Amino acid sequence: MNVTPQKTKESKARVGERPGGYRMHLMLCAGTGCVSSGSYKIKDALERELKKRGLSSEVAVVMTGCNGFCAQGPVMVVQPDEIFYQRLGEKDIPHLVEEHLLKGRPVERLMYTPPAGKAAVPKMSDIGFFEKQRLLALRNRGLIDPEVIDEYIARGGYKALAQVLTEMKPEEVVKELIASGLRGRGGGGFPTGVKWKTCREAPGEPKYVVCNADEGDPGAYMDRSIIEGDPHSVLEGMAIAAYAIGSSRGYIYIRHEYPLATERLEKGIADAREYGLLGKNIFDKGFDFDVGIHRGAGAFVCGESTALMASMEGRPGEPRAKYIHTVEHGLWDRPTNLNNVETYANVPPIILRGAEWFTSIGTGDVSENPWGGSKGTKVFSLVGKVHNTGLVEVPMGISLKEIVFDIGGGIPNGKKFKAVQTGGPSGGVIPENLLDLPVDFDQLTKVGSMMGSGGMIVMDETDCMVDIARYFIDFLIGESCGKCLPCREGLTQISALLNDICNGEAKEDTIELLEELSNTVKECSLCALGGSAPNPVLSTLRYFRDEYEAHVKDKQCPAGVCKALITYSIDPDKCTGCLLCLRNCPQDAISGEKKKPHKIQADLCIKCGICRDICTYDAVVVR
Amino acid sequence: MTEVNMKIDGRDVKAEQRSPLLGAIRSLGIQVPTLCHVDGLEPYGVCRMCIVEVKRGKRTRLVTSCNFPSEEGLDVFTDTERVRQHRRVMAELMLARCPDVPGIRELAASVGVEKSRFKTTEPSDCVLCGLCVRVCDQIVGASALSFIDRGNQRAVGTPWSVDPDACIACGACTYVCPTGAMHMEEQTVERWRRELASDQRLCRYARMGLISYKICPNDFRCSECEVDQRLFEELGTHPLLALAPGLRKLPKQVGPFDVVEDRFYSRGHTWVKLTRDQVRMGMDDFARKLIGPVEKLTLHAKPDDAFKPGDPAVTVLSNGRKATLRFPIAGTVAHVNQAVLDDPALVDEDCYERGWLLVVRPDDFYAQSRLLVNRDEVESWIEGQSQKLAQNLKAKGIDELTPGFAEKIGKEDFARLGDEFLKTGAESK
Repeated sequence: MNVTPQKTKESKARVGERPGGYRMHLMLCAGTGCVSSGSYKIKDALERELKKRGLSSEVAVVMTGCNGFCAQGPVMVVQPDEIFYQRLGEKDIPHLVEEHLLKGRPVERLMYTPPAGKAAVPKMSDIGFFEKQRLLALRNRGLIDPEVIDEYIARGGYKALAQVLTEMKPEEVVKELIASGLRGRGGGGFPTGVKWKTCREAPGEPKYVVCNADEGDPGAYMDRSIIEGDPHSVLEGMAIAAYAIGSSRGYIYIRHEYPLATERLEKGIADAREYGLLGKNIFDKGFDFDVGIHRGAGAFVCGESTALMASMEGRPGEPRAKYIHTVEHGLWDRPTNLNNVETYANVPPIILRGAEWFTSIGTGDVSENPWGGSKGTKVFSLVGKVHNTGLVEVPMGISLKEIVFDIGGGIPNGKKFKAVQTGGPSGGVIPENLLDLPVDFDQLTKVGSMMGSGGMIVMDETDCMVDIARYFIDFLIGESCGKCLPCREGLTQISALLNDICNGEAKEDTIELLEELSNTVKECSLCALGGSAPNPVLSTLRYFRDEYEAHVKDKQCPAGVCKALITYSIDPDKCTGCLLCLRNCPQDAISGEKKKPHKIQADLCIKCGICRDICTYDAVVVR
Repeated sequence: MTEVNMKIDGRDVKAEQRSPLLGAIRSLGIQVPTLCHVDGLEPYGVCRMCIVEVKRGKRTRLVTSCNFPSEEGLDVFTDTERVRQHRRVMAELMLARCPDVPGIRELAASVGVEKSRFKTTEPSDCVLCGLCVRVCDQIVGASALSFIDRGNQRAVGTPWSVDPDACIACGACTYVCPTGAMHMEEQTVERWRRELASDQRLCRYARMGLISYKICPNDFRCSECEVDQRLFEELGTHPLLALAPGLRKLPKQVGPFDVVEDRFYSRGHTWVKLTRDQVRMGMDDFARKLIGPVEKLTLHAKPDDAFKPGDPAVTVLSNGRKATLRFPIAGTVAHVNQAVLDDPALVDEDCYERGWLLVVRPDDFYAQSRLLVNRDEVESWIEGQSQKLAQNLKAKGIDELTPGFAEKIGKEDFARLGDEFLKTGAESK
């Protein structure tokens, strides 16, 4: 069955005319975060309660993709009023249904209250977390059921594909993309249109379109949420890319750890095939395109283009030199266009609303040079020491301060901001004095970090920068493929030097040696994993060198993290002698009597930190 | 071949476009340290010792010369301070891994490093250059060695860490190893001494495919064999390295058709490639172009079915026309290529490698192979077939064997041509 633009319109009309029509829609988040905090239990409870109250024909429960405000899960938005409920429990449901849905009185207790504010904020768009966001890649988030293709179509889905196939030549599509200034969202920031153009012009048949969904950064889940929340946006973007470069075959390389995303993609592909939006002769325009799914076995390095392709060919996921590019010799040695999930998701709106509109968002000028600026938006997963952790999509050029403090709501527990790390495990840290930095590809690179795929980890004063660098290096050691010497041996030695520093065993020249080695690993590694792996070390050395020196010269850890360099003691002026720490110490290292200051015995103390966490008078001192 | 002009350390040099820089550098007598590179193997670029700086326009970058392609106007610097600095640090990393290996000590000394500033946790003999793995894969064709694990746990081993059946005990891995970490797999040879009948005791040169047939009279003690040692001396290197690169053939164009000269062909345009005691079968480029784009494949035999020459092997459907290719030899089916059954377009993409159809256990392959077209004959045979086909088609008004010519052939003519060229009618009734 083939779908013409006419038929798509019909199907759009069909969705609007749902028999009966619902008075209200409960958009309950079914992203991975909310699912793990129990959103399906909430769904059952809601449906039970709606049935009990006889509201089943008036109010519909819709399971949507990730809403983004993951810290507050499970979250739900009541439409059409856009009332935002958070941290729902099964027990809250009967009350909520009765008050809001039956009597029309929204329940304040279940709404979001900002950390600094006192009053609850009922409307989603008024909440600081959502206010500064701008949704392009996540345009359908929370608004559709990702498993229903009609809902995607009703929101203008596949219209861009129809437009491209019926009104545009492939060259015009490429031109539009170049003019839009869209740059690769997977981390490289290579202009997408330029890549398409090179691939289109590369000799060799067949050509392949591949989507990189091997998102492996710890704590990052941008691509996962896009696929889980709106799988068709990716499929449509891929189909447009295929038309532009002259390909009829696409593959999505997705990590095996994303079962829900894979399931939704499989459903999406099957539905699109049934609607004639994938397969042969799409829109009766003689354009064939189909998509297959390839599951990755879980190696971080397989996010690197050549390793990804090696893995797809059935070989070990190891990169090769990229002196000859994959757009010319890629998968099975054929021209291959590889883009990231978010990049593809950005393509349909660019086609529909035009390059000019897209360039109105973001920084720089791309009219002469596609590298001249960063246009559009970027999705970040904002995690670490911030109030509002979650998934955010912001316009390029927004400052780090706005992301961390306005959207993220600042640092919890009254702690002081120290640094933000962008770009995933091999990104760099950015200190407080650069918080006004506009976030775009070039600015982040300039300060020694990178855009990466969009991880953003906030750190406060209790994070030790040497320890942080060691954490990321150790992650990368485990994920290096081990093929080339600088990455394999170099990272192992970097880790050994960092261990020396954290353990107080470093010599005078250790910091210089660390810097020298990091530079060699950065410049000489075979692929981008090794080439960027020393970033956490180099950027912490650049902005927090005094912290390294304190470890080496004074044998002190200013943040109080490195166990070999700290001692716990009790401030006798603050201690009230409540016995709480004494009772909870697993080593029995604390001695003292009631109402008299306690003491920690240094030789027994294992520096576990329980006493400090438990003390209500802030009397435990770490030095 | 296009020639390009470059400058290396200020000297003008010409090189073949896209050929590795290292060749051009060495042609000037300039020394660049290498470890993981051996002529005849595909460049691997992992030891990173051969780094040089290249300048194009305003941009200077660091690349490995063993695999960086030569380009017009490139300015290459092989011995800058930046290059020397990184080479020294990498030599220290190697030395920290392999502190006691003479070859590594020499290499480090050549860039001015006597001692490493990095710690050695566990001294190793193997520096993971991958030469053994690559020689076994690319030149021997046995793939008996591979890498296991990843990151700093990476090691060289045999697949699933068991005594590899695929090892032909040719000794190429031992020969190329720069550190002396590879030892000949004695177990395999011991087993052969125990198990093989005298007429199966092939000389290692026969196992390597360098001579057609010779029985070992020395109980596999190559170092005591006069023939073996003389060949080694004459060639000055492991015989596989001297002789074999020519064995692993890239497709060669014969008229409008591709042939690969590393296998046998049947008169009905199937190919047959020996892999130890089994053979792989598929259809050749001539067959696939004559039949046209493959829409469906039906195999007529399943694993463990016995067959004899002339039995139907596979029916190919294209443009509503069918052609049945037949087995050229006798044997038993071992397995079938499920991937190609699922996606028959693989045949059109790559009929010689990924588009294979069956793996079979042949009955006495050496006897049967005499009936097949061998690698020395294939070029002239395909040329003859191509001319004959062109004449045939000309009579039907199809002038040239241009891509897609199959679609112009009518149904009746197709049946006749199939019978004549692909032996779709039984071959040995």
